Amino acid sequence: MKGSKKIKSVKNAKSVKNAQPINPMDLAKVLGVEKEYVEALFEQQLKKNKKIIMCDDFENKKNNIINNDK
Amino acid sequence: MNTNLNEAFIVSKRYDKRGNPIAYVDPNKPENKDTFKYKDVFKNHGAKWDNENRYWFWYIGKTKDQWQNVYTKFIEPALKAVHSQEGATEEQSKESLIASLDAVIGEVQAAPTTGGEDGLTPDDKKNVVDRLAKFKETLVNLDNDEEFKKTMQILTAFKNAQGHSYSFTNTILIWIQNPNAKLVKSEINWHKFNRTIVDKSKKMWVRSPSRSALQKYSKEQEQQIINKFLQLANKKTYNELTAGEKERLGVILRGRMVKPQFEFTPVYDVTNTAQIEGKENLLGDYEKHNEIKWFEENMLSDEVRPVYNALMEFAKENGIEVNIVDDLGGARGSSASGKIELLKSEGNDVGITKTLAHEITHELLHQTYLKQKGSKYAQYFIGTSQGRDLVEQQAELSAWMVLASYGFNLKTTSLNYAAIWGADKEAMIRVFDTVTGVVNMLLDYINEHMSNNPIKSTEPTKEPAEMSEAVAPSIKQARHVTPMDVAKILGVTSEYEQILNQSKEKMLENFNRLIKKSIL
Repeated sequence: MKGSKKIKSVKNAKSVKNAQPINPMDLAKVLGVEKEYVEALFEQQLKKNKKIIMCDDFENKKNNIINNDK
Repeated sequence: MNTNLNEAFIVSKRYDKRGNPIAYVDPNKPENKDTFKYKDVFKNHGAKWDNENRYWFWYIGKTKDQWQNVYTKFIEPALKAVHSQEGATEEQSKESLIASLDAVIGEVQAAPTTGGEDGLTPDDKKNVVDRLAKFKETLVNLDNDEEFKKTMQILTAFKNAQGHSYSFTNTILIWIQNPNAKLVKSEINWHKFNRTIVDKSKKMWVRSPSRSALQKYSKEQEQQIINKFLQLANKKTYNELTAGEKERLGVILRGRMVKPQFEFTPVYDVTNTAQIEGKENLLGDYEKHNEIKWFEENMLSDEVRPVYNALMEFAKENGIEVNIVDDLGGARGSSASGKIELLKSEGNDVGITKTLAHEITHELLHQTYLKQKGSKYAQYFIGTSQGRDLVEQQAELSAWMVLASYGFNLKTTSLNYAAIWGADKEAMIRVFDTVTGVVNMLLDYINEHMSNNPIKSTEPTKEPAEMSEAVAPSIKQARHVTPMDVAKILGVTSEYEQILNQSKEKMLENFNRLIKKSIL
């Protein structure tokens, strides 16, 4: 082997393993913006909550509640 | 995507059984865990507790004006108050920690001594109480906040090093009993990893919810939880879960904690366990998890060859032409909508493999070629309207994550994302979702390609057994990259430690919760 380059034994190739999926929080942690990312998600969820409250849909029908509720 | 971090609870809307419209925090949503801890916050913001259905709710009235009013004046302030509980002063946190230690000492002292192999003995109790008291004394005598910070950092690092997600109280319990512990689990969970306990006398004690404190889920709820867990783990069946995932799911399925009642159970460190002969080693190379591989750009490693080959195949399958060239004027690659130019290599150059991933990411995210030809990957296209800097950062980050996911942590100085996204939070969420999506798609492709194309040895091996192993290597799942690994690689460990300090604030919240729990 010459220079600074290092060549590993070809048998080491078997140590490359399947990778696991990542998620956006992994990225946020990697980039050091975890706190900002959580804040952004928080604000986004507040907006979603407001939409849910203000829309006309309810999870259950008023007429069926006696039958469906415990 | 909520995590253990304190994000907003999700609010739903329904009629109660009297037909009144209510907004409520649905406890069946995984994001809405442990709402009862915030009972004071909810009560102070007009919420009621439905003991039958076990959720917090607000009456919201019948008109839209009333809905708006209740949301603005009560619901949103309540969610913000929960969120803001992350903040606390140093002194408060120290007091909280000391108070929670007192609570744990009280619990240990009150715990029954059943004796036997897995039961707490009077000596065990005395030992744990003495150690907790000594730790408390140390905390009380700390001279300043800096020393407290250092102590917290040690505990945080210790907690992060654990493979199991222990509470902070249990982290302290383990730490005071064995500060050298590396990976701690119960005997039952070690069995799931095909390991036995070597010396049962070297047990440690942790606190776990007593059976009477847990309300079992119905069969239907259990199935929902399992389905959700499988979905989050990206697996189709229970059997596809790793031993660690099965362990985490098992903890969830134990039931919903309905009262703060604990017992003390024995756990063992990995160094006190042994692999069961004839069974698969599910622990993997645990020791190697703490070793970071350092790959300088331009470093050669045959380990990267399967990743390089898979990426080349991906390009070929999708009609992206990859031209190998001898010189690119100092660059290592470029992409031009369906055409990639890449510096010549033997397929074992880690840096050039990253460049290939970088250029493929450009093709997926920014170039129009795949979109115009109606490729199934057109969904990843986001264009270049965000500006060149952002486009380059997305490609570099994606490529870096792909390589890091296989253990190739490349030193790079080109990542400075806080400055870019700090001011635009919605853009940050979009970009993270985009990068995550494209990286995971590439990981799936590479994983599958590696499974279908095992590496063939080019060296003659002496033993036939070695030959067969080299020709058909067993491919196992790799661990996630930890943030500290990444911080080290990026040369931003001090910045990352600052983030850990921010995380400390979240721990304070946990302490407050613990204290509230002990009061309830």
